[in-house]
Amino acid sequence: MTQHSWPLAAWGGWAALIAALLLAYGLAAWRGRWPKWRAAVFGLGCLLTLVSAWGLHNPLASMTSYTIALMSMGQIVSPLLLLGIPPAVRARWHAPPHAWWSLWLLDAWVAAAVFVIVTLGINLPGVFNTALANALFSGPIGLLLLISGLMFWAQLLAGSTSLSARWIAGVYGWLGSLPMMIIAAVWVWSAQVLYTPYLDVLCLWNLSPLDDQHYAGLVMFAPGLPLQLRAAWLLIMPEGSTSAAPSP
Amino acid sequence: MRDAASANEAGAVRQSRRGGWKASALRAAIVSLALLAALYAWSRLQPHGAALHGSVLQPLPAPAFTGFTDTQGRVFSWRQQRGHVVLVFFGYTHCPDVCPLTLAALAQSLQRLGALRQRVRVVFVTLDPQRDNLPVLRAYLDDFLPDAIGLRGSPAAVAASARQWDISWRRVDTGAGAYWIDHTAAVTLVSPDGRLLLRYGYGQLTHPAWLADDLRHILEP
Repeated sequence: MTQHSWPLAAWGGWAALIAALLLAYGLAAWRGRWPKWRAAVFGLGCLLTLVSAWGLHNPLASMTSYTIALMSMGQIVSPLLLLGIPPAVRARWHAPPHAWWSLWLLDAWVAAAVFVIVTLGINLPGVFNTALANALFSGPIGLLLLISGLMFWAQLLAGSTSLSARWIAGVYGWLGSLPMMIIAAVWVWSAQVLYTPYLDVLCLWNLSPLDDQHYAGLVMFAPGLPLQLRAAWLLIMPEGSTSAAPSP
Repeated sequence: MRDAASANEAGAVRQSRRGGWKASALRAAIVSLALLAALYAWSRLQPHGAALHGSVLQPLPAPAFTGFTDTQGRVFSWRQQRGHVVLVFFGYTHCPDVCPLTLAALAQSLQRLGALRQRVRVVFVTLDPQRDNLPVLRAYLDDFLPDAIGLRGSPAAVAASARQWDISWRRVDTGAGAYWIDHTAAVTLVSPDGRLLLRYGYGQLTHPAWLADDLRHILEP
């Protein structure tokens, strides 16, 4: 009686997106003779996008698996896709003919605002529950997290960043990760189930809904770690003589 | 490293081209407002009822109770329920735990409604027609919700109806002719226009305010 999974068209959309990404990347990498390890990293990012999409397709099955998919999309896939592109190429995004979009998407202020609003917004019951009512809603939510993750991580990597110094990027990354950590803490330590549709289902692995929520909070801590480590790296490691912005 | 160095050179001219922090702050404010509006619209355009505490169902017409009669011996008709929210629960009177707890929880929620209580009806469908004859059913419901409608049908009608309402159940023999029934403990909410709207597992009924809030939301849109 409820829509708990994706129709074929939704799967087709994700497959088409990944195919388009791979095609565009393959052409650019071939022309620019980009290092093979970067191609491998980008390919891994695409593979994880598919795996994450699989985790998104049935949000009501388990809050933990749904959170793994969402966090993976925003915090694992995003940096992998960006690292697949050389910093010099990412730097060219700031100049014409890319300036029209990079002016907005690669602006540190805009990226921070989008990242924080998306992180907090999608966890509000009114938004979160949409995907629990109809699994189709989880697709756009995953895509939104991927885009916000790409925008935020771009500020922590050389070339794509708009920030002028490593320590600023470090503080920026650390502050940006705080909302995620706060939500994770709320989930872990909450004494009641926050998204009540989970009360009506048997969760995977026979977890109770409250345990499921606690594990989802722990899961949110884990994929948040790369962001925190990257921020710490930028803060702790000394600036190089030629390096004003973060690298790689 | 050369990549990083050339990337950083590009960064040097970036700030001036972008117009400084004031232009960035303005862009961030515009995007923030747009994103907040989009999230608000998203939460408003969601499937009807997704902001409620129950689990949202596809709004199909409520299945008919073919072959059932109520405790007065009358045939149940959805047409007679139009304008009322109907809460449908499948259970049995010998149930030791979840049925009485669910009915008690429903009673607590309905007490909070005040005048709106008149626009909510409860339908209890017995999964045990063998032991739950109509007087037994009536007496059982009177202990919890005197105005609840008790429905009883033949075993075949019960099996067909449970399937239609997505209720799974099985008889568990405990010896000496005794048995209990394992069954889905879910309350289905049917909207005033006779369509499936929400479903509540027992866990969603433990806070009486949740169902009461949902009912107010539906009856006072």
